[in-house]
Amino acid sequence: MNVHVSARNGIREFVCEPGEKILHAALRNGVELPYECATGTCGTCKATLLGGQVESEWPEAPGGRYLKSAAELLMCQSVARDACRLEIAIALKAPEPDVPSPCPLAGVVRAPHHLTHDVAAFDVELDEPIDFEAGQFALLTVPGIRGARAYSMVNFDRQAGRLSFVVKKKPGGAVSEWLFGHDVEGARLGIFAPVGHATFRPDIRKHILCIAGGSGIAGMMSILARACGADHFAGWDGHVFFGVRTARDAFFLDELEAFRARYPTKLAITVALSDEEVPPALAAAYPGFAFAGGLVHAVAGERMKGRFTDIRAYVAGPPPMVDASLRLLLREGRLPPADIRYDKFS
Amino acid sequence: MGQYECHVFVCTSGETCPTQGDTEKYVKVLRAGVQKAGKQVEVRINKTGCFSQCGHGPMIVVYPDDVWYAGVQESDLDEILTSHILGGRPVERLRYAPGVPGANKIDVEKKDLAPRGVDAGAARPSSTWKRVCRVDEVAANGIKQFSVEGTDIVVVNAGEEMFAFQALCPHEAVSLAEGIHDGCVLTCLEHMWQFDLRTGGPMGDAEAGLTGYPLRREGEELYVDFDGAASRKGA
Repeated sequence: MNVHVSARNGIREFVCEPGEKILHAALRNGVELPYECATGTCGTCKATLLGGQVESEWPEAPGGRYLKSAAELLMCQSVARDACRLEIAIALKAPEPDVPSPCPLAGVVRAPHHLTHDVAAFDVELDEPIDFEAGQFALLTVPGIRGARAYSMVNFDRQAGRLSFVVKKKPGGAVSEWLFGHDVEGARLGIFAPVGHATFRPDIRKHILCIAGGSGIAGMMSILARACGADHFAGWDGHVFFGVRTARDAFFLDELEAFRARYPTKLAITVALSDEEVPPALAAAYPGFAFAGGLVHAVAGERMKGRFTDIRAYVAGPPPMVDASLRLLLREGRLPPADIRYDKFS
Repeated sequence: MGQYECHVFVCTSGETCPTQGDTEKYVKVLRAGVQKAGKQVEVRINKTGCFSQCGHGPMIVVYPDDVWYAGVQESDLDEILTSHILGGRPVERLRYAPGVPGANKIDVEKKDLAPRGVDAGAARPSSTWKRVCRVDEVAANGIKQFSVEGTDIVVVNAGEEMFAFQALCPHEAVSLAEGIHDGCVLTCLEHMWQFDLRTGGPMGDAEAGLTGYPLRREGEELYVDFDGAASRKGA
């Protein structure tokens, strides 16, 4: 099926396979249609149907609240039924050079295990290796469960044969309950990857500030792996703020310590606990970290005061935390939006 | 030496200059003239805030000559452009000579809070001004949405100045009241589109500007003039 998209700055045409989401087909063909979550919530990929027939695979997607008429649709949820013409209200961006286009993949679950009482990690062993940028995410589909879920890659490898993910247990969340509740080793998954704009590349020549809440640390791990691999912290500072509720909610501390130990004077890791005093045993176990009580954006704001020059910031976590961090970075940090990278998942 | 042979500042967002002339238009006229002369590299025309000489406006300052012009009328622009900016000879008859250094505000009566030099402002009959709210209903440095006779607007409190715009961000139709501002730039947090508070014009990634409305303060009440709307769509 031919799809024809007119935007403010031009027209693009691409071919959708039967059953393929319009957004996926575009990205696969190197057409950078606007999107953020790619999972039906953010509304960024809305378009107006000018001709042809499309069908939404998830008509009640929360992103539907951004649609103002019956002719509007979310491209991440819509499948073309015949040749169609769409219009988007904003301009298309040029694809970032050398960022790999996403494609549909498949793989099997490997090594699922608990990191905390409500966070699990797992790998997906891909049928074929892929390249991705640090900070990107993948859309995972579990057979029998409708809709895709977005998870950030934790690892960073060229020609990666495995992608590592973390998932937070959400009561009632079909995929997280499936991962937590079953013996899923070896289960096959559908994947569409890599996607997302919150990417780090070592050519940015800036200090790095990561503000993460809970499982939002996932993409930061990939960024840190990439930055350490490229020796970025030889010349630039890294400031990582990781917020969790209590000590029992923290994970990846050993991995973070391994990054820090390579650049002890350049890479600072601060763990913020919002719901309890910092237990002395925790602080003693990680003498190289800073610990603080409070919400992670507030801790970051306090400790970054006067240090927002030449900063590229990455933000990930629960929506209120992301929102508060963006306010901090814009208002106190006065960072230009281009240096604030995040992907809105809800 | 700086980046430009001639750097010109036009006050477009002080308290009085924009009420004494259409200073936004002055900027456009000067920029067009510079462009026509092919001097975009050498000459820069900037909009600026208050010079603290309120009452002597509209004011234009030219550096590195350090020449200040007061009471500039639209009909004077061509002479300033040709003789001074392009020709290097200051226009003596328009030079500002207050006789005192530093700030020198004339104690003008409280002027309208008319943003972005919309020429509507005070000249319009009072019947077009619609009451919005009490001034103190918009928190210091806050943004609040109001519905005024069926039209949704946001009022931005930037301390010394207040501004009114269309309520919804042109990008995703999210209320700008959810956004933030720093006194100069309004940012919609939904997708980081930014807008110049003083003009409504788009900045950075934003592809469309905001429709702004003249706002007037009478006592403790704010009034908006929808007839004076200034759209910066696609600016």
